[in-house]
Amino acid sequence: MADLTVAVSESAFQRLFVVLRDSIRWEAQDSTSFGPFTAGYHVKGHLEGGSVDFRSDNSVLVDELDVRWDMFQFTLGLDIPEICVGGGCIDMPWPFPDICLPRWCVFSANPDVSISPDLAAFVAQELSVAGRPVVRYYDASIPPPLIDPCGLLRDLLVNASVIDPFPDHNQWHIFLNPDFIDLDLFDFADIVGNLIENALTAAVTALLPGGWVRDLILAIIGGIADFIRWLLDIPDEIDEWLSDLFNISFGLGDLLIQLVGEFFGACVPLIRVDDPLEVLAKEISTSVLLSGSPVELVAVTVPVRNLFVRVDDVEMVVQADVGG
Amino acid sequence: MTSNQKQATLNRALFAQRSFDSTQISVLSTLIHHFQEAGDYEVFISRTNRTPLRLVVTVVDGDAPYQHNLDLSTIKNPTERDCCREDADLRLHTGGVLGFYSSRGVSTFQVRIIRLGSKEKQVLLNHAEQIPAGDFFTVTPLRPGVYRVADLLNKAEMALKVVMPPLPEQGKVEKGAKAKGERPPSTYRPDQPLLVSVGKKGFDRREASLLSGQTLVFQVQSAARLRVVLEKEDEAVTSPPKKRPDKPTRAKKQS
Repeated sequence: MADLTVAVSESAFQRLFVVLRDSIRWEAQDSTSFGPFTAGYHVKGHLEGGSVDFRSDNSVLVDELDVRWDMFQFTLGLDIPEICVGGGCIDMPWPFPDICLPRWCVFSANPDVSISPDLAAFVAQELSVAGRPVVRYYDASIPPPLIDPCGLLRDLLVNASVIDPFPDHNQWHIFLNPDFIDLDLFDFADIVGNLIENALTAAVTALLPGGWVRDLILAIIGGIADFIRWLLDIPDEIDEWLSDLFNISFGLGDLLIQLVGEFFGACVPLIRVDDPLEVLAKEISTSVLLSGSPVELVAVTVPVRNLFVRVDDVEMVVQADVGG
Repeated sequence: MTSNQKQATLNRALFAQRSFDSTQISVLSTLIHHFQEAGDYEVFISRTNRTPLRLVVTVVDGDAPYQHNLDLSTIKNPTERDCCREDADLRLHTGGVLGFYSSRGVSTFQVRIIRLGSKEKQVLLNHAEQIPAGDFFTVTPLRPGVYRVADLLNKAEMALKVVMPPLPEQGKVEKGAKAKGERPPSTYRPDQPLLVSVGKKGFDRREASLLSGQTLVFQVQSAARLRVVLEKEDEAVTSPPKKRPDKPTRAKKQS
């Protein structure tokens, strides 16, 4: 039978979880070239909401976490290809090959346009995490690994006073190791597609001169809207194309899932238990000696062994043996 | 929303060109010389008030390309006149062609081609005077309107009408109808030149019609000197729309 048993209710766990949830903030940026266009993003976000549910299979479900984007800047740059007149070939009688004519290009340098709308207001997602509590032992005498995937994240949280730094003594750590993380796919509404298409059309239109020259260029490229769709290789709706870009090409959802998984599963423990555990703090007492002179009483600590954690549908129970 | 753009550098010379003359090469015109016999040739390319560039062209029956196109706007004129260098700058197959054109700018160029090897210099092409039989001269008019085409040597004329290509209709292509990666079909093909023969009897037709940006190719069957001049601009497409006169105010009816 364990010497030490502590039970944590769902509501207490919820309060623990909220502290950690509020400490998760992320910022990411990337850009990729797709030949005739480049696309990139610069995003910042955090989590809100979420309800905790203890389940009888020794797992915890954190459901309906709202992914809030503080910034969701999407950058799309088009490299307008050459727009040329002339060209073609003259058929020559056999055995001479055709004579090919030169082309004259409207732009002497390839111009490019780029737009950077902030789509934060148009992106809403939910995230759910289900995981099991796992216990790991932190041995302060072992130097940290040379490449610590959690080091940067923990340092940021410590500097922001969200968590305490790992101590110079040993600890038991209880993490929520995710079994699965479910994140809604990026889904952009029609309005976002229209917003981007209109912005690109305006940017390309601004490049073109007026009058008959403009009409000629429009005839060559077949209209700006179709020209842009051709450059971006969009067969259908631009909002669907945008969703594919973020879900597949950028894999931003995977990045977010990885971040949340590492945060809860490996980097930031939900609960820490010191080893040895202090049961009586050091104090200065005047009631020990008859003379009433102050005496320093050392702290009373007990070693914690075999820490174990389990969850049922009511509570989380932490048990351990005390002493050597 | 922020929007950045690298401004386009418009090739303005293209849109200012209103006439073409076969005695000089300017933007939107090309001279194509046919080398019918093997041998060594020297090609002089002159730009106004500059030292001519001398190129040596070797025409062989063996392995060599049939065509070179020289963009005269990109060549550098030498600081000193070159007279005697014999190593070939270009090699062409017998029956091959050398095209001369200028891709940008307002400079005009003249070309002179001389056959080397014989005791007397044999001038095959003195572009400033005429274009010999077997060569081609092309023009790619952009400005819509009616042009007069004349061969000053053979005293022949024809009319050339240049019209704007049809403007694409917005949203004509149904969404989803286009396969991925395919460009929407366009009715306008600037790369479809029109061939016109010009000989002692004049042009092979009295009039021709082109879409702006398409090329008219003159196949010269006897020496010619060609001139293409914009006579009547198509105001419907080159002028800004006329402002509709204000409606007179309607007098109020008194009750």
